[in-house]
Amino acid sequence: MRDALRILGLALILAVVSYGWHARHGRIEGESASIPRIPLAAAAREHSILWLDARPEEDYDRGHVPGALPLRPGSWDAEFPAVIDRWQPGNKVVVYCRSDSCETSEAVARRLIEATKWPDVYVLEGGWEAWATGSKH
Amino acid sequence: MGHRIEALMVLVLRVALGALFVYAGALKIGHPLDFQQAIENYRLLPKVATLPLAFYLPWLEIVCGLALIFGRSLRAAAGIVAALCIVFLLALIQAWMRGLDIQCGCFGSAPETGGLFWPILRDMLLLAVTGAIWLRAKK
Repeated sequence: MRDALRILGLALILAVVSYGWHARHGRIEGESASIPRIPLAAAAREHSILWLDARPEEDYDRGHVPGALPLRPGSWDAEFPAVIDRWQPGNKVVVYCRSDSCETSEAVARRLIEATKWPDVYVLEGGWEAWATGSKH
Repeated sequence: MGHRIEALMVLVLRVALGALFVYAGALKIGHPLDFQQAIENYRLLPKVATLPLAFYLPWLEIVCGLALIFGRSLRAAAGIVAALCIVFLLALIQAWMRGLDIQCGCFGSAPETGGLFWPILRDMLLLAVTGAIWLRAKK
């Protein structure tokens, strides 16, 4: 029991030190803020949207938002340059994955902001499901 | 002879398990916010709990992993690792049953394919290995 407490305590000390280090280097504030979500209706009103599809390749091939570029964590290095080429100042960037229960769009958006510092990066509320449903009406 | 082979097998297993936990923890400590996101994706805990866990769990994995590798506080380390495996397993199974489209997050943000099925199997295997080490460790 004492050994277990020692291990738990040592990990706690290291975690606190790590938290202090990250806080001191500004790696917690701001980054931890959620990526803003944009409803489909609001996105549809915009004229200069750069759509990014964070779903697996087979889903993208089956259908995607017209003009959307694929950008996924697993193939970031290969796909990121095309995104940079396409982006223009004033663009709103909207990332989507399958639905609200997938997390890839948020991860991609976060990484994109970190890499580019672009101001207007959003996650599509409801993801591809919302688009697919919306485009049927 | 049989006893020595058994002891050697336990040694190999605990070093391998320890190395795996050190590796898994090390991948996460540099990116706690990514790991926080991974925890949040399981939709089990309030946001206020996920950041402390995102900092604590990787270090716990590393400390336990090192204890397993170097054979220090072995029973305690194996017990904690077993408890972690059970918690991870329950989280994975509930996410799988709820049909959440998420990644395991077990190895930070490293890309994973195959959904949650393989992480569940892997976790069961790790739990079995940890149990064997725990049973063999001296009190």
